[in-house]
Amino acid sequence: MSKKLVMLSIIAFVLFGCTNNDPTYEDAQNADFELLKIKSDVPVDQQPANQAKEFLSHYEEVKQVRAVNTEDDLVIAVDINHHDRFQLDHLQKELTKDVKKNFSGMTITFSTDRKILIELKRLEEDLQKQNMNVDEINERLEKIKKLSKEDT
Amino acid sequence: MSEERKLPPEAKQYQKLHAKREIKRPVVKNCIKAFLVGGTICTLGQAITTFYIYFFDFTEKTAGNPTVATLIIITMFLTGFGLYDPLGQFAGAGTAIPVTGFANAVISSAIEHRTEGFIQGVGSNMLKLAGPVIVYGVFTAFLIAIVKTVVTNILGL
Amino acid sequence: MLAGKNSWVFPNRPVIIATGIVGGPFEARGKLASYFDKLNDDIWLEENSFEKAQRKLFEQACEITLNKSGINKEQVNYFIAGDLINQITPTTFTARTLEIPYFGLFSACATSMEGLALAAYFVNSGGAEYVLTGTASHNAATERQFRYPTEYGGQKPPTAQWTVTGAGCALVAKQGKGPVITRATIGKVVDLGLSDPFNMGGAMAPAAVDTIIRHFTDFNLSPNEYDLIITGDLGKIGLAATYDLLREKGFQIGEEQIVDCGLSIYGDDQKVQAGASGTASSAVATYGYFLEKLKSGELNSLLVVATGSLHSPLSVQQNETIPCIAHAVAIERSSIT
Repeated sequence: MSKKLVMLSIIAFVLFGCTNNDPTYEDAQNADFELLKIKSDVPVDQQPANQAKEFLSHYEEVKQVRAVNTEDDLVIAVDINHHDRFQLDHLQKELTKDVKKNFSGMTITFSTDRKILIELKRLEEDLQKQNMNVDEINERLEKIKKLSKEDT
Repeated sequence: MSEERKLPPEAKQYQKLHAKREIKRPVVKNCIKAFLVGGTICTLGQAITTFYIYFFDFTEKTAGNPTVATLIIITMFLTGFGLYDPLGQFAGAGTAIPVTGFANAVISSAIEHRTEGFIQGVGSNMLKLAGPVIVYGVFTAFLIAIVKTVVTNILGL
Repeated sequence: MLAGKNSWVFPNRPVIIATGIVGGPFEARGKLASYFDKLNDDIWLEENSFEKAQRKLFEQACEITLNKSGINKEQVNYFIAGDLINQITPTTFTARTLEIPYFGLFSACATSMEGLALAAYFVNSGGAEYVLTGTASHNAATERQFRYPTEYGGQKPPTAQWTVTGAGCALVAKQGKGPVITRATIGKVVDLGLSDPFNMGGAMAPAAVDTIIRHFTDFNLSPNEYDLIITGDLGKIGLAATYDLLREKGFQIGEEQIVDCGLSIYGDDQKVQAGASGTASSAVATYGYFLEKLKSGELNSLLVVATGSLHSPLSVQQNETIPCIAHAVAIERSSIT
């Protein structure tokens, strides 16, 4: 009897972990949120990327955002809070939807992958430090987009 | 249960006497050891994954394959040098459940049957222990896929 | 000569004139290391398979026995031996090398005493002048046949036993110096429904008890007739169960009067779970250690009860229980020294 109870509670726990909570948008930005806005003196205006960061920083589940854009491409990577990662698939779907609604004019690539996050961070830093021309930025971003689409 | 009833009384009596003398597997101790060793192996796997993500062009999705390959190669050396079986005796399920246990089952069989040649020995016996895992793994995946198709497409849940 | 129902008495007192004991590297670290005639430091014995290594072990043991006795192999009438591996081929190949007429035996780990009993019977009845008997086992060859590949990292339960890598041989003669064989009791197959191949000691204990009790009834002996009763490879669980069962059946024997070969071979620091097993377990410990004690006068008489579990890998997979057997041979110190 007690075995059954234990089994039931385990199942309940697992199922509870699977419930789909929608991401919560708060008015205030998350506390201690690392938000790097890219200066405007880069060859491609990073206004959309900065806006996307600002927008995503309001989500409770989001820990970190990196984003870079070209003329019509916007690549975003987010880091999700550890305990929210149980709903990673669902969050990714919902957040992508929200972002696409707000930036309807651009092609959005949205990712929660750590690799994309790292690469975008590197690109952001390079944008700040060096004088990159438009072609270089396009090339780097193209590579990141390709990576994000890779499947096993 | 029905098997037990068929036993003659003498056998039943002896089995009772024997049960008193039998040394039981130390289940709790084994579980703790398995947890620690298995956890160490998984941490090592995570470290390898992170390494591939940071230093090579692998994403979280694609880094799995090279990680598994690396763990298998490590297991291959451990098995070949005779270090994996004492580890397995200590850790039990901790070394059997991760991919390293599967690799060890294949590699140890391959080494063992080398004496019968490459075709009759290695070739036909390599999957002697791992074969059931593949057969029933594929079969279970097939069943689950059917259930999922029925639930999502037909019942529309 | 028949005595009682299933026993033989040997009035002509056949003599074990020489023995040869060979071991592997793991045995060299054990308690009985100093009693071995030869210890190999390579588990492969420089052969390319474990089965060939086992054959080589056996050949070494036979050669040592013959050398020690000073008897030519042409003088030996019969070779009575067996082992555990694939239709006892390692023994057969040894017989091919020896070129002595050969009886192949299979009684699993009870083979050593079955061979010794038959050898004594042949010699006692005048059927032979010299009979060579013995057995060999190899840890890796046995593991691979009955359990998993050697390098497989499966966890063995504390009831599991470790197969001895080694071989023990004895040369039985009509006369000469050495311990004499006085009695023997042949066991019957006993199966009390245990089916775990990782707990053979527990399965074999009832067979040992059955043979011991029949031996004492056949000869109408008191439990204190022998200095020691030595079991083959019962291990910790089997020995304890045997003792319990003997007491339960009203056989008054002290705990110190019964010892197990499987618990004598390896040191406490060697991880062999419940003890040693394998055909060589009883052969190595009896022919090496315990006969030496007889010769030195520390002991006067022994009853060696070698136990064997007669399952095959197939029978275990088909969920059959383990049939077990035990053969007993009594060995005494000879007055001629």
